[in-house]
Amino acid sequence: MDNTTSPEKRAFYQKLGEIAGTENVLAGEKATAPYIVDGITPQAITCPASTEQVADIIKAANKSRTTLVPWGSGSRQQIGPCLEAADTVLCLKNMNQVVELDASNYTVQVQAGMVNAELQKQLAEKSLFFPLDPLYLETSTIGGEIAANANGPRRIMYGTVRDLVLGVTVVTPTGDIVHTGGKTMKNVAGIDLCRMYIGSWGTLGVIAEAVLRLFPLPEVSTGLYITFPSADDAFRMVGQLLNSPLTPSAIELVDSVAGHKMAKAIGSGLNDSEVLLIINSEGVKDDVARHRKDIASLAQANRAKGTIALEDEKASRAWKLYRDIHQTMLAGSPPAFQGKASVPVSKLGDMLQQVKKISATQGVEIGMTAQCGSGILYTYLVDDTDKLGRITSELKQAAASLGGFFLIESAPLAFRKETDILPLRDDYQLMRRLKTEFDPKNILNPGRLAGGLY
Amino acid sequence: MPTVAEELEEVLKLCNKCGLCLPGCPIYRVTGIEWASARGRVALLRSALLDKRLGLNDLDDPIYNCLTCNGCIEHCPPGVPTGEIIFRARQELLRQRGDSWLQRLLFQKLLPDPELLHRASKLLRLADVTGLRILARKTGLTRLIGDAGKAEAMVPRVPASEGLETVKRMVKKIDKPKHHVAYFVGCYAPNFAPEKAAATIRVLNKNQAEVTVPDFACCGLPAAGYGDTEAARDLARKNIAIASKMKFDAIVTPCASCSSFLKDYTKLLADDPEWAEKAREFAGKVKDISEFLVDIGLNTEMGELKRKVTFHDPCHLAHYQKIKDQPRIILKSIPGVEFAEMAEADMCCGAAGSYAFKNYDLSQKVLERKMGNVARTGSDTLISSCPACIMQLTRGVSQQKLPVSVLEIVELLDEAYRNARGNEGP
Amino acid sequence: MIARSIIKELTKIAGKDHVLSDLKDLIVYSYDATMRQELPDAIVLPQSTAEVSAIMKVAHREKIPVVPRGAGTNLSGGTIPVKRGIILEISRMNRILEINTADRRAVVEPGVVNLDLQNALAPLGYFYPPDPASQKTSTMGGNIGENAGGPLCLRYGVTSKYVFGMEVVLADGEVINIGDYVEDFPAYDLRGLFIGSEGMLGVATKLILHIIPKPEASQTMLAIFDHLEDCGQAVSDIIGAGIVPGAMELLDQNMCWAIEQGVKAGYPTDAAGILLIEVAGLADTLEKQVQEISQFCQKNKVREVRIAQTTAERDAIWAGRRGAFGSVARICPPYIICDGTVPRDKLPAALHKVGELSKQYKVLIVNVAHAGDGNLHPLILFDVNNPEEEEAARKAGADILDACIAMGGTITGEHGIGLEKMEAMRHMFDQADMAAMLKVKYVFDPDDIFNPGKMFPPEVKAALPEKEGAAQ
Repeated sequence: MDNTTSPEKRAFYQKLGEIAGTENVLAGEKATAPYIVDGITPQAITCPASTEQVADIIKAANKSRTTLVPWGSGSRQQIGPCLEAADTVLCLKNMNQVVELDASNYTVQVQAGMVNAELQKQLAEKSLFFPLDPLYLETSTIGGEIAANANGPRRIMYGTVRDLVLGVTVVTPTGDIVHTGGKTMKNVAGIDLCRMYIGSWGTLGVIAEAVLRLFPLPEVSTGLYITFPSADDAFRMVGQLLNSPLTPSAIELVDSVAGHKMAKAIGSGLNDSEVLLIINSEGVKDDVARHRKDIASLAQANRAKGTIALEDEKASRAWKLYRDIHQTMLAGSPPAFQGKASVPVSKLGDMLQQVKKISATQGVEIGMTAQCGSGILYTYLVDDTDKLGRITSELKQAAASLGGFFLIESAPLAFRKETDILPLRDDYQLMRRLKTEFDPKNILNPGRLAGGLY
Repeated sequence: MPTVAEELEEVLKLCNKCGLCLPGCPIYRVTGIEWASARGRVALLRSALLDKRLGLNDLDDPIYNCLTCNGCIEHCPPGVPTGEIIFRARQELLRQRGDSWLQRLLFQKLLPDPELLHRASKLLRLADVTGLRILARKTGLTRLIGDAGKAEAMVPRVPASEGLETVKRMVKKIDKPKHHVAYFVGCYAPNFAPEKAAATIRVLNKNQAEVTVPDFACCGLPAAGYGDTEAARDLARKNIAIASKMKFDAIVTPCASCSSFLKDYTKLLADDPEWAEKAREFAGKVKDISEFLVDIGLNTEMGELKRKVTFHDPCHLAHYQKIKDQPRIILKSIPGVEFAEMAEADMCCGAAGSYAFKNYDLSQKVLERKMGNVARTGSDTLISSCPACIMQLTRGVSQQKLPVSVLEIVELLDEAYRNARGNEGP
Repeated sequence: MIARSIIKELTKIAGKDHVLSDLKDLIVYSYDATMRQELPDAIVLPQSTAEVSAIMKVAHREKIPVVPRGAGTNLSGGTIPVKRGIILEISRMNRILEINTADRRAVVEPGVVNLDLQNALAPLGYFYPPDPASQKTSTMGGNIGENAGGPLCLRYGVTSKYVFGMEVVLADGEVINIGDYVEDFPAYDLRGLFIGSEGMLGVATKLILHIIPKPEASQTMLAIFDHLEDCGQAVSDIIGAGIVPGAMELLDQNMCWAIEQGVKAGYPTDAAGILLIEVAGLADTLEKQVQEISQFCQKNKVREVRIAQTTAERDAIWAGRRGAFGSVARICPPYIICDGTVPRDKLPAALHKVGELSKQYKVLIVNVAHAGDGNLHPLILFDVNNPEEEEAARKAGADILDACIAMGGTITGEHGIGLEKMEAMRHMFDQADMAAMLKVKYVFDPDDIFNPGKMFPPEVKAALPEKEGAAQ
């Protein structure tokens, strides 16, 4: 806060203190530094303790036209086009409790600020788990994951956020508390607002609570780490696997650029052009044993060089290494570029080859991981950023030519500001109208939906 | 006398609009229009008869473009008897509108008298032999009589034949007969396809059944389908009287429409105290050919036939008599035959007797759907068990240029028996 | 009434055989599978997206209500044209456009019948899990409008999990694509909003569906109980142990009796309740699952457990369940079907409450339930000639829904709100919730062209601030 702050704004910050308690309103360089988003330093950070406080804060923000940035733990604030403004961060880290755990009905109601890993810990005590495993689950909050539609390897077996969240309590941009969905798996009452909020990037409301669908902790969980001489071999096997009645809980692929460290750590090598396929199966012991057997046969039939089986602790550690690929690649300075291609499942192998071609012609190393059952390919550029424009446009073209799209997820700020982050679609007009309807003053994450859209 | 509304009130109210009948209705399947389904027809008749929102006379299309295939009924949990409701409605409309000269000619003069019918078919043969029929078709003259003109091509060339006399001459005595059957020949075979009658007799003989050919008249289905129940009853009495003068184990026919209607004589004459018991006795002896052959134990001494065969269930066999397994048992017991079940095998072919003559386009659409299903089996032989179906299917195969022969089940059996080693033929 | 000139315009678009407006046409499009009837002004049966768009342009210009309709088998009044207007019948748009098992996608026109799709997928070893009881008649478009369920949803999930994208025509005729063939499309989940929106946001003209391989093996069993509470408890125990059967259906004694009158599935008519359980998965582990389930049934004093040995036996068991509603209709055509859903472990309590209400209001209630996900279907019977009985039945239904809400559940698990449960919306949602839903409606369809008069009680709409150009 400085002398240029308007009286309206001052009144707002004062109100913040009244609503959340002055100890829960932070300002000043040191306090706001960790909350810089898209190059903008917010003026204040507030951490309310309840849904009602969130509602009051938003009402006040509306009155004073203060822009708000909903915040969990900030794992994914970079998503989408750049924000136009970010006055106050509305951080939910103090709203991090389990509201109701209904073990018998496999549901849990949590406050949005609860960290995924913490929730898993508490659930594990009751032999339950919530099968959402995005790559940053050690830090990400449930609310954030829902807002970002953040999925992980387990999506192939358990479904995505849109299938795992039964209801959300949201505070709309005009300060109304809205309850959507409920506790039951089957629920078609009214318009499905819950799904609207999933993946809405904090632009249609602040998610305050969520009801999640739980599963029993699997009896056994085994990971098979299979090295293939080429990506083609791996994808051929994946095609056969997907065409079978087997239900693996993860089918992840790592190439040699992204995965050589991980591969070494688990005891296999990854030479150039080789790929590592990670297939997890979990559940009842006999089912998993059958999966292991069948997957091993499929691997052999597709020229697999070697298979390592990991369980329990070793498996957990391997998954941590897998997640680290993402973290380490993005933690550098300047930050690496990360993009996500989504193509038809059968075209994933083609997309990988296209990326390799682009990498070769542009002379830049591009690391890749893939969620093979879902047609998702992540590309990581660890090299210089001069060619980024050209590379991204070629990646977009490649994905589009295969019937999919390419989305920029992480990039240096300057680049993000000048590039079209979102793929071409013909329903943006409708989305724009939805945003305007719910947030007429454009106070929640302005600009996040699509730069220039509003 | 109860009114038609009072008669039908209970069954009309059985419908709770669940809509499960829709996929069973071929007309709904090819049009997608609600009143072309059982649910829609019942709703309209209810609206007209019970709610008086519109007149029965406004409902010609729903009442007359129903195939009366009864494909809807097996999907209907309360069992609304839509076919019967439609027949009753047609009866009522006929009563309101009165007979037409054509109807009187057909149902009251020709069909009851096989000899007269034969002479009429000779007229058609004259048109065939002189080329007049083809000329009429090619110059578009046939189009003058609307749908009937379009459907005319369904009726095959009339062969040389003496009608029922020709069939009677095919009868032989056999050595050590185990069964004695009265062969109900029907209207089609003697006039249009005597060789099929020959095949029937041969097949029956091969199964140790001695055959007699009584002077049965038309079974009465065409009249009843039109709504002329009285004419149908007259025919029933005539046939029952003929049968009462003879002794036999069963009345057998290879025409599914006939076997179905003959079995319905019980219901038809239930209110006639003089004929009710005789009708029941008569109907109890009626057997469709597939039913009869499987009942007595089919003679399996056959030669090999290398054919890929599929079967179209005539509505009157599958939906009316609930006979579905027997034809398949027979076909699968012919050595060399590869049997391929087609999708929607029991869906009407669109013939429905004289349906095509009034509803040509709908009949065509239903036929095309059937042909698609036939083609997808990859069969070279299409078997059915009703002359109307055979006529329609033959036309369909020719229109679609499918490399498929269309045969009656008795013809295929006949072929198989004749192929057996040591067989000397007829 | 729609002017003759409009009928002419529509005829130019869809052809004269496909624009219907005689009284007999209006009558047959005035109903669905509920008891209500209201005449539309006309029915149009388009065959392409272009035709649908042109039709909507006319309707939008003239502000004529449009009710999208598939086969009209819904159980909530969703396709009844309460404000008259045009019935947009999509049954002629019935082609399966693409089946791609490698991508696990099927692309279909909305008029494709659910079972026809299943039959096309079966020879390839694939299926589309949502299997509503109406599947042999209901269309994919209709399924999506109601977010249809079905017995298999217990294990596999509901329609919104299996529809990835759609081509949609909006009220003004604009054609847009929402969702996608591929996964993780960015920004707002408009396809999620559309699914279950009961024809109020637009009309879908193409659907991109998710298909999966059939399970390797399945077994069907019938567990027969002498007490309904034991039945409910067995359900709770089985699911509580982490077993996820393919389907678990509960039928009470009256329901079994009704079914045996109609379908003859071989159900016992002297048992308080039966469970129809289908287990699916890998062949090796199926037997163990069957054993475990049997043990839980034993623990809850089951009288008998029958395991289907042949396909014919299996089909017979399922035919009984699928013929449930129709069998009741055979005996007593008018009934109210409730669709209340509770958290699964409240099922015994919910059934008990239904029994109490039956006695209180003196109406016969027959029960079938998707027991595994707590989705009840009490059928409340009444004599159509007795208005007091009908009123009592309605009150019982309303009380059942309130009880479901009180137990932490919902007023509709799969049939939709439509007309039937409009009033109950206020018991489940408050003004802020419904205002948010209406915002969505307003964004898609500001002039309330699509299926007006449904889902929201009129007072709720009236209480909202006046919108420019919105119909009241």
